[in-house]
Amino acid sequence: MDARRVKDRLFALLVYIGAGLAIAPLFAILGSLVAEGGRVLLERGLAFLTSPAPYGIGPALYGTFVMALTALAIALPLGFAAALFLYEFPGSKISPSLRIIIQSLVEIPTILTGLFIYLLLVAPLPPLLHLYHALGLDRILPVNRYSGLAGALALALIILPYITVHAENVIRQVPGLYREAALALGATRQRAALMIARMALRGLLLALVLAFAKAAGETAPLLFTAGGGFAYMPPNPLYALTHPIGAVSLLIYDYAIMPTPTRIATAWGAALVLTLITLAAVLAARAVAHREIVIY
Amino acid sequence: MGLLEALLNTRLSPRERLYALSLLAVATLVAALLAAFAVTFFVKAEPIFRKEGLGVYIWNVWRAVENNPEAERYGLAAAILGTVYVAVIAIIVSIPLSLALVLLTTEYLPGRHLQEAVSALVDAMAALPTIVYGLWGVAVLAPLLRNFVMLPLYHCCPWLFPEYPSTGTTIFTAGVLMGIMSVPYVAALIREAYIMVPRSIREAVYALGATKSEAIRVFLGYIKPVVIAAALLGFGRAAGETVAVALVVGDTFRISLSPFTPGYTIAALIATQYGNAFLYRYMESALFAGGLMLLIIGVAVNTAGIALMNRWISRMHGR
Repeated sequence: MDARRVKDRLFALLVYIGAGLAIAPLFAILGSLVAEGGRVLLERGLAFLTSPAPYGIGPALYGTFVMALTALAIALPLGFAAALFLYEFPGSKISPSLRIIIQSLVEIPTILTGLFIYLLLVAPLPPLLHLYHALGLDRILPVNRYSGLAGALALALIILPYITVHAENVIRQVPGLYREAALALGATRQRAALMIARMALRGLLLALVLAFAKAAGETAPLLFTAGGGFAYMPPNPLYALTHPIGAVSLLIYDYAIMPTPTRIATAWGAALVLTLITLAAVLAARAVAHREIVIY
Repeated sequence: MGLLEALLNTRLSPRERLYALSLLAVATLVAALLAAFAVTFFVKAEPIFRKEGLGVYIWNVWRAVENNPEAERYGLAAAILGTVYVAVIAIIVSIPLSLALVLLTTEYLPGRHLQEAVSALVDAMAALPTIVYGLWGVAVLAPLLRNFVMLPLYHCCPWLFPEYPSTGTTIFTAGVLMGIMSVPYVAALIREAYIMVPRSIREAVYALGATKSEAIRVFLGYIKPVVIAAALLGFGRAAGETVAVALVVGDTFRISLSPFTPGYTIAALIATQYGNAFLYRYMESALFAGGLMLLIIGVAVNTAGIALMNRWISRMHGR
């Protein structure tokens, strides 16, 4: 009897230690970020956010926002439409395979997504290049060079499955009764869908915020698409989309193992800024989501 | 238009056809993406398959020669083994930590507020960009592991760890970092199953007079397939991670049994070598062969994991 009690206590102790070890890295990382990154931000002030590398992250921050927002603009309509398809036509012949494909897209290593866009736009495969040429697209699209658009496309491809899954879950949370009532009153499917989307608006906005955070934090898909460049501020978003640009994540990757202390310091400052952006988005989304659950 | 209705297996009024058609178009486009992925990768990998055959996956050689394509030799063995090695270490680290985290939030923490706080922390861990993990890994974790884990182990048992850990960036460091990074993901998968353990089983176990730890062992046995599935999915994640691993794995073509040596993973190889691959005739192709292998590993591991998970869930609902 006593031996069992002791064993029980020991097990509880192990659980506490294990869980502590699981969460400890978060505090270690946040501690390093605040200590190292905070020092850089204090030293260089707000100019750190606007000035060019190696002392600031202005152009990189600009690139991150331009690419993440463009990726949202591309992926949102596609993701919502795919989610609506799964919601409207659960019995269709395509739905089961579409589900599997979306799941597989989530799991594809992001570096491969970057290479895929590289083959589509940065250095298109010969047949694609001929196609672009025949359609005159090579005069509009930034073909054959690194560009913000290529980076945004890679990010869009990465957040697309997340948006689809999240949006479908949100739409499903609206009681089906509303949809049936609308259809019974003679509304078309699109009218009913619009109504349901309005009811689920908060959840859909949440999907948007989380997708933005994900897009802003990604690095690997930008390696061979955006091309980098942290010292020159693009004059406008269109220029950024058609020319090589940097991103905060890319800057950290480049500067993390540089031998110069200034650049490593810049990397830490950049990491603090990037963490604040993504954490703020995710924690805000969490707060909203809880009210969401209360409503439905 | 009877075709559209048959394909969607539903009835449409004339005014809904355009809407249905546009949704179908997007769905088809998304579905086509995966096929396009595989095709483009295979097209790019083909030259190296012609040159090296499947040997590109077997040899450990990386000889890049400019202006002399015949002398170029590429074999990905070191990167493939490194990928598996790192992912296995990651799983060994993350499964116990994730189990402890799940048990803490479901069984041990009293009150909703504490549980909420811990789950918010785990969400924050999941939200941290991977490059931030990478920066911390190379600046803090790597020296820490070298000085307090690898060096002591080398000094105490040199027969077991014959390699002197000359640097902190090793296969081991990458594995530990990936283990830490995959905790939120693995824990979420396990937790979802753990809270599905039926009330009848819980009550039956406690009615038999089991202590908490004994009961937990029964519950964990109940969700064992899910834990295995979570390990597989975590393995897939760790195998595909790029920048964080590239910073801490050491980036060296070396096959060694000892985890305390620098190595390579496929993703890290692509990240570090692709930039100058255009200088050589076959290197780009070899890297795409690596990408194809990564795709195959990922799809195989994930399909197995998801199948295992779904079978368990449908069995649960069946009861």
